[in-house]
Amino acid sequence: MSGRIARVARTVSVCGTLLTSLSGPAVLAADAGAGKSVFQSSCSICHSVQPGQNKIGPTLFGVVGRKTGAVPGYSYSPANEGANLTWDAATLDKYLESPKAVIPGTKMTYGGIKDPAKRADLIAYLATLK
Amino acid sequence: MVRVMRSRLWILLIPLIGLLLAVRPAEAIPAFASQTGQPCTACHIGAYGPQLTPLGRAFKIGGYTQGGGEGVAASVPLSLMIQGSFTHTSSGFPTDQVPQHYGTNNNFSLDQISGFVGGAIGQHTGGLIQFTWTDVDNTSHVDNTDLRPYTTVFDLGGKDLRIGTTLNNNPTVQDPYNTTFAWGFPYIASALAPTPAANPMLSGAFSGNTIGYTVYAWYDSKLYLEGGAYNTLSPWTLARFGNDYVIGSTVSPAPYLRAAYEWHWDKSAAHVGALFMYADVDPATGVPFQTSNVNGSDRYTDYAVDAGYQFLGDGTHIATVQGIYTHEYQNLRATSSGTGFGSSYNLDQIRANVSYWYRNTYGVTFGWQKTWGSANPLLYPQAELTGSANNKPNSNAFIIEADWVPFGKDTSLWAPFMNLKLGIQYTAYTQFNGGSSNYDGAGRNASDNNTLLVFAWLIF
Repeated sequence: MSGRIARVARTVSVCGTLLTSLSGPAVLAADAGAGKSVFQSSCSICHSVQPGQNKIGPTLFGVVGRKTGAVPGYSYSPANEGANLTWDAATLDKYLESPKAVIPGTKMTYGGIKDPAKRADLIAYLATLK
Repeated sequence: MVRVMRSRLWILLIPLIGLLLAVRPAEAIPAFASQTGQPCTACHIGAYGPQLTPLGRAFKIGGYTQGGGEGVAASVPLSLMIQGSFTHTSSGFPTDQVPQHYGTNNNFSLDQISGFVGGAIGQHTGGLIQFTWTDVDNTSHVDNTDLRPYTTVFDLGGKDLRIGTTLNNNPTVQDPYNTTFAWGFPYIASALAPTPAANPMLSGAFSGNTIGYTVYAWYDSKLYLEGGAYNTLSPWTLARFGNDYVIGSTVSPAPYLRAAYEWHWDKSAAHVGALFMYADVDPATGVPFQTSNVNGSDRYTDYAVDAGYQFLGDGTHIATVQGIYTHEYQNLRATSSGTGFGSSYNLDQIRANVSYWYRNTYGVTFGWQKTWGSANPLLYPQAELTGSANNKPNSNAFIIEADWVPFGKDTSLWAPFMNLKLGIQYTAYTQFNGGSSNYDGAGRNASDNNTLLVFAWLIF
């Protein structure tokens, strides 16, 4: 894909993301490839994408659709264990924007991703991890 | 004769150089907090550097490349640090040993103003450079430097293997554990109070006067292996960097090896490790930027083992234990030439500390540092205040420090752009440079050097 085509595709992707984010989760319009870059630059220091490999945070393999506090062998905060949420796209979108707003007391110290397009791309990438 | 005298002069300078090195800089720079989108608490115990959490170690081993921050500030790699303090010792300086511009006791000092450049260039390159000016002797120099020219991660059957390279200017400045010397406790010390003369080579002998090039591997966030070598810089370069030789200039690349293994379980982390380094050096002469190989070279060989434990909990109660034991063999064949003294000596040192933090805001740390070894008239000659009447390196110190860090959390004022540590530290010596009483042969006792330090440590 040439650079120009990639830029156009990216623009279409972002526009689609913004449109869909008005009405709900943006996974379908997002770019999983771009989301992988977001993961590597912002998440990989704490999270693995390999099944069963917990680092500072739990593995994100199979995270989409999983219940909170459900990875075996990982020591969650009480807040996360008791959150009783399902990591669907909508919940992940809110959580990734401001983790402590969704689960006060979570030990994830990351401040969040404010850019909706980046969050959508990241969620699209996480959805491929299964 | 003049040359022999010069070759001995540098020995008298060691305590003074060590005194300057005693002022420890911070690694917790807001530029990193902005870059990663994380509060100081994510990477540092007590919300302030330099003691690293597991995430802080991962960030450092990752070559300072992790991103996650947003906005303009995330790409501004600059920080500024200011340290000021008040020092009181049980007995003041002898009248002929008072530092210029200061009183015999109860001195306020502007210890450091440091500028930092730290951050990432892409996903594989990062680093940290510190420039420091101190009002104590009105000098500036290139301080801690830890560059990571390239690092990347491989997937080995579901386990990560990170490989990286470093270019740095001080053995252990690149180390991820705070048991080692460059970032070890005490993280701040008086720039004016006398400190023991004897320390192993790994503790500052090549701080700022070398270039080290190492390669490291980090497997499954557990096994850390590193190897490389150090060469001292040329006199021309040192003059421009504001640094000088301490024990001498390396004759050949000085090998450096490091291994550590870390466990994580529940809300805890622990590690054990070992270090090795040896260096053949032409002794410093006492003349700035000058060493001599007229009588050959000396060899210093250091072996160290270290261990640490961190209870991190949910951030409400945090406790850490750290310790390192170092054994040094000194073959001073050049320095001893023509003196009539032997050339083989040993030096041992234990450093240990325990800390507790409440909500990463209120902290207390107890430290212990004991040094002992054979009587060594070459390195520890008799001298008022800084010397040893019996030529022994033996010292024993207990340190207690209480800290208050009101900022550095994700909800703090101006987070993550500003942080502050206010603290009070007391160091009690039961032995200093070989003795408890009259250790220098001029009537000074070890306890005369007991030091009260009150400090403010601000970083933007």
